[in-house]
Amino acid sequence: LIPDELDPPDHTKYRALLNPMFAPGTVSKMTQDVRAQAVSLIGRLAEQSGCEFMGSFAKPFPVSIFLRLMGLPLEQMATFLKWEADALHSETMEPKIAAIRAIHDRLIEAIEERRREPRDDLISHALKARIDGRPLTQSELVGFGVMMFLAGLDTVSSALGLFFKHLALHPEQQADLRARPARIAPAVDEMLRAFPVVTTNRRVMQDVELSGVHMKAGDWVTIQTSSATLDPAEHADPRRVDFDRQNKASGVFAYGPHRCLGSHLARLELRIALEEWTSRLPLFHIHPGSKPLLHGGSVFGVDRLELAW
Amino acid sequence: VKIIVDHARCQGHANCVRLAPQVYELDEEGYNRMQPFEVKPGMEAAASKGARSCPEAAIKVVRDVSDSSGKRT
Repeated sequence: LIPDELDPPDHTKYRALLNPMFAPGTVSKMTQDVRAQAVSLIGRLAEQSGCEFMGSFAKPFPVSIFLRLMGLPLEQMATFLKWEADALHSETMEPKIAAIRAIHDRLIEAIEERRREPRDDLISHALKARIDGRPLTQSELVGFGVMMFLAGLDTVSSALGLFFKHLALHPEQQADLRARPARIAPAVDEMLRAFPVVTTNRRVMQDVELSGVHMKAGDWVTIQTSSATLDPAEHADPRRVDFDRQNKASGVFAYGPHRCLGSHLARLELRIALEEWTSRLPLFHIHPGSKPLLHGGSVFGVDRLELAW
Repeated sequence: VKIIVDHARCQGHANCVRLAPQVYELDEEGYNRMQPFEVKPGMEAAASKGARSCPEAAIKVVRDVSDSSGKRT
């Protein structure tokens, strides 16, 4: 995957193309769009007294933002949701491969459309981009698209699931956010720290011994993000969710050149989801008799979360 | 109080701008590429808070002009 699996100096060139598209200034211009998507999904729920949160909101919300960014029709939401589920959560390889191939083919179709008729979307911008003075190849363009699809959907859905589960179980904190919406932004940072969803992989660059463990150059190391964000040496009483905590910035989006490109968009989506839910729907709790179902893996997350209000 | 940003260290976390938007700014790629500057009177606390929040320790707060070694906070 480009640029996830490259290192500088090659990584730097690709990353430089993507940075302006996800910089804080660009992302803040998306606020209206992101809010409109949230409001539209929540509108359907206002007449109900509860919902399965993942299927009704946590999954479709980031997918709808992705479709908007890429300039793909919102009517294809169900198709993309199915591809996402197959690509990321299948237990066998065949449906995974079929889904990634389908996403791949759909992106090629969109790239060909934009070549003929550019619009104001990420695909059109990527077509104008130059690397070492040449345009991007078809496979580089598709690679970007697939990466954005895989990186931006599951992660935000999972974070939403864990945040809403926490707030459903902690009505006093939920009431606090409802009474003082200005606290939602710091609450997002604190819940990101408390419930990191992504496990990252890094390659060992030189032989090293760390706490008695030998690692050889070229080894892959899987790093549990929570081992940093829940480190008691860094964060006192780390499991306690405290919106007033001072050092909430926790490395949840990682450090260095591979720092999460989509972090600013992710924060925006999470903040707006919380703002619109708390202002449009009453205090929610876990549906009596139901139990949230979670999963582990390279992205932690929530399978089912029955909410009632 | 003077602020010196190490451009090579900045990775675009944007914590400085989120915590002290009146002091820091990012370029259109999302990096802090500000030249060394004097903090406006009254903004010292915000400037320090933004500097401390930098996970890459890219922002140096120089408190005393005669102290050229500076202090990374």
